[in-house]
Amino acid sequence: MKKLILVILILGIGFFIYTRSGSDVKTPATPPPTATSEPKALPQADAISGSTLNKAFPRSDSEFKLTFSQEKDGFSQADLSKAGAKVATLTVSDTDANPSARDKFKSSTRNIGGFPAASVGSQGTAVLVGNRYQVQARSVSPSFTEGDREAWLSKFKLDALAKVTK
Amino acid sequence: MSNSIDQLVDNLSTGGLTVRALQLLDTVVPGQWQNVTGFDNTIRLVTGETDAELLGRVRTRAIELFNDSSQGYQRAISIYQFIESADSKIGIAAVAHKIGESFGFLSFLDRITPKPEKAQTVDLAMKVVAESAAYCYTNGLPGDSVSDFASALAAYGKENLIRMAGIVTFDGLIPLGDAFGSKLISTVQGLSASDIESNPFFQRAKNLLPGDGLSLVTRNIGAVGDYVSNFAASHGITRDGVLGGLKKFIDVTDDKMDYLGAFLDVSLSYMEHTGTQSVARSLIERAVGEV
Repeated sequence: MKKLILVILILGIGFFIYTRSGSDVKTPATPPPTATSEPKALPQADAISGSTLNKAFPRSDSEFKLTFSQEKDGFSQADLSKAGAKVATLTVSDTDANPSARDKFKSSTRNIGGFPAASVGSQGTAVLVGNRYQVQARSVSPSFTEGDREAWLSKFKLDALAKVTK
Repeated sequence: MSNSIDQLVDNLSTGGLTVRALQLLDTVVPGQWQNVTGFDNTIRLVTGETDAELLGRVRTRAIELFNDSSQGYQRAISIYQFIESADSKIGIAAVAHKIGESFGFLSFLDRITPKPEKAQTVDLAMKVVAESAAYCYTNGLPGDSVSDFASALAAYGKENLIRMAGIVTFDGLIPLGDAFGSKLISTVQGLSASDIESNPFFQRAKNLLPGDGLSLVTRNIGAVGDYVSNFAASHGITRDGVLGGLKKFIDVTDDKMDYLGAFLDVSLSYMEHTGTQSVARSLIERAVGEV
């Protein structure tokens, strides 16, 4: 009887070790879900050039003057001024170099120009174009309202930007 | 780089001779400059945001971008540091920061030698070259960056504008007089390659500067010389006006005026101070656009 119990115990322990080792082998082959949902960031120097992103910006009009102020790998910025005073900054960035920027658009319920829109704090409004390019308008002056931000975002060449690839 | 951008901004002076001199310039180019110090404080001011989670993401992204040497921000900081790190000035600058309300100019006289006019003019030219190179590394202008820099000058504001006022005032008007602009242009036209090669800033920074020394200087001054010459007149800055302001906190007497330019040269760090603020502002504006 003791021998039978001993055999059952050995078999049980052996089965336990076998199933554990089997799962250990499988672990690397099945990465956790978070690893597949977080894409790797593109090196900044490999992002779309700022000069390409410049082409998506709207032009100055009779009231507002647009002046480019920063142009780097994967990023372009222009200042918007009215009567000589800066009222807003407009930016386009390649989120492939900073993929977490796309997270805020996942729960978006509004759109601008057909693209998902989201707030960036209390002073910024952004759209995600072609699931890659973030176009943002930020108020510098209280006179530049959320409505102004949305209106200027819709002036960007969003459809053309959505098709930009290297 | 020995420091990260958050440390550099956290370590900016809130007082001392450099800050007093910049505040004086802010009275002649009013409303352009605030001495914003502290990285977190700068992020709040530039973004206009208060949400801690967003501010934290902006901070992380700004530091990431600064630490990526391909993005140029580190090179810009190095140039602003090199332009004001001549060996002779370090000791005096350190002391000048520690003195209270009045800066003991006379006590430094035995350690100061006024530079010959040509050397002073080359220094002024180098400040302009340093500014154009650092501006381009920070904000990234394409193609022929010298002419792009000339057009960007028209849009200068805040730390950038006050720094340009500093170049014109402390390195032009005070040491070279009211005709500093014409002296700059004519001197640069007659420079040789060895004049540039022997300049201490150029020797330190030449690996960071685009092009060879002589053509770099002549192209820069050719592009922006008139702007620099006209800056004082267009902003109402006069030598007498600035001297009147400086005398309120530097004990300079009229018979020692020749030494004042040399004293300011070795005791001010206005380019590094406002340059650090400018790089931080550009980085933060980019970071909040990217998060």
